[in-house]
Amino acid sequence: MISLWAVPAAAEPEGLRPVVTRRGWQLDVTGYVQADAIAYSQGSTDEVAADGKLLNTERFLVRRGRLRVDARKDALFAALELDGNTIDGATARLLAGNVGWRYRSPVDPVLLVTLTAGLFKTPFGVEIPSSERDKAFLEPPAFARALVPGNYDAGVMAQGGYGIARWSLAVMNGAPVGDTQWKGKDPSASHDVVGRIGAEIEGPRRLRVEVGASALAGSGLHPGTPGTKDELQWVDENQDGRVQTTELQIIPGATATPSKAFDRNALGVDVQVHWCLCALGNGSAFAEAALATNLDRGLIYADPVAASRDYRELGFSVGAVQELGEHAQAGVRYDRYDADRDVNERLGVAIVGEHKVFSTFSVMAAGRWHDARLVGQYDHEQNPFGRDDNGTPITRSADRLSFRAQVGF
Amino acid sequence: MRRPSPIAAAVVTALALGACDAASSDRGLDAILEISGAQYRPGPFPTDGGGPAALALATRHPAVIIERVGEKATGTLEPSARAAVFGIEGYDGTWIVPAGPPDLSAPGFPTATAVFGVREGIVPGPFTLKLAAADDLGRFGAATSTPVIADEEAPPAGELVIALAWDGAADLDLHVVDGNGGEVWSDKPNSMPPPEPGVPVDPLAYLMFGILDHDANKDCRTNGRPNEHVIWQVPPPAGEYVVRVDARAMCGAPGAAWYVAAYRNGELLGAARGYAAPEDTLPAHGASAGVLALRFSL
Repeated sequence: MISLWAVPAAAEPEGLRPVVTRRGWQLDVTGYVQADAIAYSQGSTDEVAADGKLLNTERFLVRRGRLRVDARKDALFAALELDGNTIDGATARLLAGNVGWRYRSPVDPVLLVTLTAGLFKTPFGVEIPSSERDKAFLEPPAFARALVPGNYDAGVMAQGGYGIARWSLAVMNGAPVGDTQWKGKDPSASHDVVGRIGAEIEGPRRLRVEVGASALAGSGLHPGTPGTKDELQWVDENQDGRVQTTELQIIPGATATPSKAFDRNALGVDVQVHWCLCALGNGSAFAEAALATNLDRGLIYADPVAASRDYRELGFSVGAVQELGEHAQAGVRYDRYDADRDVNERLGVAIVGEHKVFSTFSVMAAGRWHDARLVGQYDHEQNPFGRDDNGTPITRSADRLSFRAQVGF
Repeated sequence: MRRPSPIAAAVVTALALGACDAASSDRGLDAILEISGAQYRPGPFPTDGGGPAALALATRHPAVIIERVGEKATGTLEPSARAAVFGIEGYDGTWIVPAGPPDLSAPGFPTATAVFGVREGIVPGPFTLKLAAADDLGRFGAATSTPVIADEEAPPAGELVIALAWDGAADLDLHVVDGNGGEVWSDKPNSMPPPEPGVPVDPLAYLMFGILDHDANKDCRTNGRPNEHVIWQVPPPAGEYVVRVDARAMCGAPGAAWYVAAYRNGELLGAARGYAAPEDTLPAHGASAGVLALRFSL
């Protein structure tokens, strides 16, 4: 199969593997396990938050355990991918499940059209649809986690290639599996239309350049509220633990409010340059940016109806990865995501513009042997969760040193 | 000279960056003061660095119950204030809150509001809640403060309430001399003067005077964290009031730290701390016994 998406810098060529054939279908079973160790985390503390969430993050965990079955018969195909992890306790879930039809030109192997229906990765940009198995860095940049949390969504997609051109177009629920509000369930009948058009250009000396532009348009839903009855509230004003009539307050009931739809959209650009240095190995540099409105569903949830204004988001990542011989790899990446470019906060008598910025500077080094990888990564993170002496949001220390052992099969 | 590799240099740079320009990730769960929704700031209370001053600070109640969050503190700040920190005198760890909009009572002056509580570990009794403001450069100004009582339980309601609380098994007695010169203590739990011979006594007349609610740790029979209150449910007589603490018996305890607080209609009139040692039990324990704790006039 010709990859229509970004070829990760460290991806190894797919070798021959045994294939099971059953009733004319070729079954291909693959998978991988990523076992992580968070060796150091500035934000970790041996405490339990008010909502019951554990605040210790220095631990061992299975970040991803994926098992995938691909079935092919002539032009038809189907795929099923299961995921298990211990991020919030042991969890198993259906991650991807799709069926499709593929046409490949017998005379031009690049001429390809694929139709897919089911649960698959959202075809926006490079980072979101890429396989976690092959990514050089441990986790996606903040803008990818915010705009399409969980990466997967249900829908139908057409994708193809012709010459140097690559394209994809999908109609999706608009409710990715990692959506913090709707948890992957689609709250409205409307759909998101998302797509990417790009090109792969081969240059001299194994130089390859990939560029693309992505777009997304759809609608979200602001949840309505049910009607409420009158309620009685007691405030122990004199702190004597006894109820006095002067301490009782009636909270009047309210009528239900309807849910309300809102528009959201995004525009993205990406570029990758791949090279091969004879003495060292393959390398790549990449840059990706996304400009969005009301699309954050993972970090600072965008609800323009509740806020009475649009949320405008801007995120990007840049970095480079270089192989250092046959068994080593190193890379750096910087990503920055502004979750709300228009937010103001009143500090005393002044109105102060603020930015809900998440950024991470990551340094990665990895050792590889066949399908096994051992990765160490230090992340210097900026976030808007702290408060500076002058009242403005500032980073709450959250640097991390992580190690990952990965074996694929 | 061998040059460091780019990766090592990048890691060192990242580690160095991680050590500065960030708020503490400490959630302040070990701090004596707790303010929900605020940023914890480890270390001592900030000193005056030429920033805006905090002008006033008040709490809704004069006393807070230890380990209960819900007391509201409100402060007024100079106009250039952008943020404020709350802290307790004598304890490390403060909390940053953004400055709020001006109040109708003081237009043009930002406010600082916090819902706070004090954790177990604070020494029960009076403490000083402090407030300082910071400008847009993070410079702090002169602080202001207000006295608050950390109590195990709320003081009883009354026109005038004088409370004594202490720790341990010792038997201490609260003595209060009211504006008429009448004294209340465990041997005379009401300040009503004795009736003249032959004069009929109103059976409810005693309610018009100060009443001792109970004699804690009497005869060394301990009852939890001991406290005593003298309460006037009617307007107390004008005049000078004297509050004394008498150590009647130590009951095997090496000493007892005590505090006294006086409330008038829920407002704190004054508070004091003291320590009773075994030698304090030696003097007589009748009227006018004990060491002076408070003196005030109504």
